[in-house]
Amino acid sequence: MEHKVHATSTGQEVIMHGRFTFADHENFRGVVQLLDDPSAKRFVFDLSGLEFVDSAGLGMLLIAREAAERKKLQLVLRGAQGQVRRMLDLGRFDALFTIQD
Amino acid sequence: MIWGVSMPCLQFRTEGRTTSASSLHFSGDGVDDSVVARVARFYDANTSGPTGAVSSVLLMADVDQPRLAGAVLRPFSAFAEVIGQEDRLGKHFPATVANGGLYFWLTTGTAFQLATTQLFCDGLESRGVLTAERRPDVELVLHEALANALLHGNLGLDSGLRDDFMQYERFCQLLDERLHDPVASQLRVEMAATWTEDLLEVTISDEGDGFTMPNKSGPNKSGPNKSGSSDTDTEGTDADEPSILHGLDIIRALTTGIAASDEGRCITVRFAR
Repeated sequence: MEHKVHATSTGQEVIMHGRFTFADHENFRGVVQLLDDPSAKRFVFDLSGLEFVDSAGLGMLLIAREAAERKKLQLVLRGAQGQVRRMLDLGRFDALFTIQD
Repeated sequence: MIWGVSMPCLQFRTEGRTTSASSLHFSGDGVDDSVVARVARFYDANTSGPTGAVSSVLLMADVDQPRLAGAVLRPFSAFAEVIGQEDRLGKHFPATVANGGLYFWLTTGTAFQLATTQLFCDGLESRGVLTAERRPDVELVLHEALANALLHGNLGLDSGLRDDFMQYERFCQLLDERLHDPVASQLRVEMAATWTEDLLEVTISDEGDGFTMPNKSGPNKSGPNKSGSSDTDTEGTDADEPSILHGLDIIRALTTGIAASDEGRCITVRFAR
């Protein structure tokens, strides 16, 4: 998985591309550390460029969710399509995250 | 440069036997010639198959994504990563090539770095075994099975660490350490596919400590914590509440059959075609 980070007026947006899998733990650790930004109120994962996610990828999003909760940040998953959207549905992530098309 | 050694099972043919008349052709890509010849001699004498069948095997050194992606579209049955003078292949190799299947034999480090199941499915699709419609489910299942084999099998990582926020940093540190461990990173994983008109069967095996496959209804506390014990760890949870989705849940949901063997080091999944 490759990602880019954009600052927004309320926080940060991480735009993810490619395949988000068990091989991305080290990479994603850096993303989780972005949640430490004390000025942020809202954090968005733009998943529209993701083509594949596995159960480990879902687990990493849950790790980010827990980190966000501890910082009282709103966490949004945006733009999931195809297999990625199906996996979010399978994991019933709508009950855990704010999900936007 | 690729060069090859044909080994047409001469010893069996001259004895007039037909039980082992398959023909193997071994090629090397960056592999020492003597290793290719040694592997060819050994497996030629230990591989049985249908009369007249020919299977090609590519032994590769320094495997990377572009080279394996190009090779898998060529008419080889097996792709095996070779380190130095090592000449062993996995135990599912003879039966897989004898039946004209598709076979990967890779180190943990390589399988972890490459989009391995994507390449394996490219191979299945190019051989007409997978349709574009069936591929997403099959690729996801193989990916989850391979992830378990690598992370919890060969690298010996506890899945409980990965799922626990407080332990996540530790999990990442351990993963990095084990991937750089010269022993753990060179343990092998094996992917072996065979098929009929109606069925696709894929076996994925590792060289880790094994585990006890949990029952579908609940966790099995008797085995070490590979992927298994937490994969169905539903104790104390409400079935209506969202819970962590584990690889084994996905595998069970998307296959027509699943079986574990070799004390949990080997999982076989079946799909209707």
